[in-house]
Amino acid sequence: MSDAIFQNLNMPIYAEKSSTQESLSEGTALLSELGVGVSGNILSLDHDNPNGEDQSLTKRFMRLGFLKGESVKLLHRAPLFQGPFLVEVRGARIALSGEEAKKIQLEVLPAA
Amino acid sequence: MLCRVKKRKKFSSKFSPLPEMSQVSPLVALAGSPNCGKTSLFNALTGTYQKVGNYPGVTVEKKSGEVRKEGRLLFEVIDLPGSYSLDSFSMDERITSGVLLGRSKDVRTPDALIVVVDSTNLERSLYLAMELLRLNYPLVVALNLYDVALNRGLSLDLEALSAELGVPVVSTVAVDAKGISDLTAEVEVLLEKKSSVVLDPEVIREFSDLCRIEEKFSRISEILSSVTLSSMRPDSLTESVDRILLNPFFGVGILLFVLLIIFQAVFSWAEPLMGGIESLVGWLSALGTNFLPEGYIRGFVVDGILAGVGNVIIFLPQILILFFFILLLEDVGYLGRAAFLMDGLLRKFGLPGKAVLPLLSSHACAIPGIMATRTLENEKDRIITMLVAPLTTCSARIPVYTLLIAAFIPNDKILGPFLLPALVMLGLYLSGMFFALIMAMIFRKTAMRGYPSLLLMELPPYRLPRFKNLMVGLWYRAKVFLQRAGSVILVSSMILWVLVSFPKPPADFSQPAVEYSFAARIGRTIEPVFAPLGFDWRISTALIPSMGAREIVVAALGTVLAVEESGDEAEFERNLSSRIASTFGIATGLSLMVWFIFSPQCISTFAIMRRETGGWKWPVIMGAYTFGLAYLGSFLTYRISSVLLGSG
Repeated sequence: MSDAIFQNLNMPIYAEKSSTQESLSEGTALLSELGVGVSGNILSLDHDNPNGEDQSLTKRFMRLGFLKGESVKLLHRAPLFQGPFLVEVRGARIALSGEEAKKIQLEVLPAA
Repeated sequence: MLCRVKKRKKFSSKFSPLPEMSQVSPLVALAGSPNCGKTSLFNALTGTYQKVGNYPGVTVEKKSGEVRKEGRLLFEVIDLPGSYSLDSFSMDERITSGVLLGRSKDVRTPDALIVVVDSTNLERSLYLAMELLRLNYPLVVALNLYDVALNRGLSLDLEALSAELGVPVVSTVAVDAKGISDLTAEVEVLLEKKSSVVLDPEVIREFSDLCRIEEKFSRISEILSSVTLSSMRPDSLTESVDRILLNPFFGVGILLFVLLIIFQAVFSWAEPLMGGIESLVGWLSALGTNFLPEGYIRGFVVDGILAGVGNVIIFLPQILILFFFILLLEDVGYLGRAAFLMDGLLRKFGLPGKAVLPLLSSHACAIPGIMATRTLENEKDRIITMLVAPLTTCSARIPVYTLLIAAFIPNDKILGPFLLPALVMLGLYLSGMFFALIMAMIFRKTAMRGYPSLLLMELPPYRLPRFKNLMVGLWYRAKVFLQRAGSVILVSSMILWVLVSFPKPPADFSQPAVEYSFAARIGRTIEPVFAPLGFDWRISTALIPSMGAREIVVAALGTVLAVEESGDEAEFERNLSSRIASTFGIATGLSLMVWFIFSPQCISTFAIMRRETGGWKWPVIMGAYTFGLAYLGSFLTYRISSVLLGSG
């Protein structure tokens, strides 16, 4: 289908971004760096906030089904001006902005 | 329809403290996550026995109603704002948890609850039920959208689920009468038991404990795996529709197309209806003129009351058409997608993606646009959007622009085939949107510091719209508008009528009567204020009646410049524009155009904003800043163009 082509066109852009992030260990990535169609298991919900000073975002994530170990799949990315992400978690579709997606650290799963 | 409803309301207020229930009737709250179909269930339970208001001090809407059986009041029901948990973050959630935890000053603690869960999304939506069960709330779980879940292959052992949770479980399809009567029956049983909630602070504290949250979710998974006979297939329809509607290439195009259709509908479909209302009011006025004796009473009835009522109901077609589309898109599930697509762009200006609809519909009229900000959950986001919405070019400005352009802009071709007047019109149009976005950014950096609310939200599966639900929603919008904004618009229209028509000039007064009126006196008094903008007392006077609606300035200028009224509107406008051109210099003309880009002078906008924000604070701020911008913009335009173009 034609939209599959478009998704492939999209992928390199995001794949490139993830390769520039060196601070993350092998096989892990932030949700914001995932390519469209790629899945990962949740490792942490408060990346860059290790002391957990503010748990409110973490709790909001959890209530939407983002729990540790849960698998997340990036379905779509909105095109305009670093638009938000749409992911699938526990059978529901959740939209998050770029800032929010940066908080979620994943263990990237090999393509099925 | 309105009539019948009114009768019912009288009936209910007269008989609601029924003899067999000597005290207050029991209160049942509907609680549930966003998108669980709670509002359609509420509509199905209450029908039109609904009351609308706001929670004090905030813009969150408070919906309550009555559940009746054969005319007898069973219980009162309140539809709490959507919430995933009692551990609250957004304003909506704070209201919900405030009521449920007995902390609300406005709503008493409910006697029983209906916890509405989305059957297609049980894990998330049962979470709130788990919390409420910890508090021993008497509750019944309503498995809403059960038909959709069945269609996707879900099979649940409802008795086992009820046993696991320890509370009754009823499957409902919000539109289906069977589920509703089962639900009502269960609530009645609960109310008879008269057990009550225990608000233990220890238990409440555990709701914000990360480990306890995880525990609750694993308990839910456990329960669900034991009661699920066959699980649901993935929603392949939603997946494939999203692949098209959220496609990086087509998605935005489709969104623009949808917005264009809505905009076009609000703009042009409303036109014949508004024309119809105008001719009806005109016909009634003619009737009044013929049958009432000449004098103050006739003037008051025809030019005061009738014109005022006309000013109110003239907005209804646009409001109803816009809300028809909003409710439809919300019901279908597209509204969240539209926000998703626009979020990246609008976030650059400090607005969330959801602001796209209110801002675009304000191009037809700011009244429905401001009402449409209800789709924004966050208080700050809503207020910023409301504050900037009146800057967009509403349709009432168009006759003003065309008149001024015809008077002052030469019909020259520039940039190839493009006519200068067309370019000026485009420029005026775009500056509205441009300044709205810039002002949103400024508000976000100053008075409303911070970031637009998180996007983090569920995009619901696509569903077929529910016609009845749409109609109840529309009826309720119309009612809110007429009740709340209508009175302010009506009263202010009458005040304006008094200002323009009184006092009557003596018989030997040779100028137009309006020159003798309060309006002209005010116009002369405020002339020094507007003189730096190039406005003389006549323009200042014409600005006063145009506070009713901007386009009135056209007729008002005609009156103060004593242009002969003629049956032919086009001829009148030609005469008027040449009179304007010969009376005022081009610098004044340009200055007046800029004034209308910013000017806040539509009273209905203030009225609707007061209603939506629950006070005069934000309308006054909106008035002050738009007046400031208009003044500054016109002043600079007048000064600069006086220097560049010579004439003053």
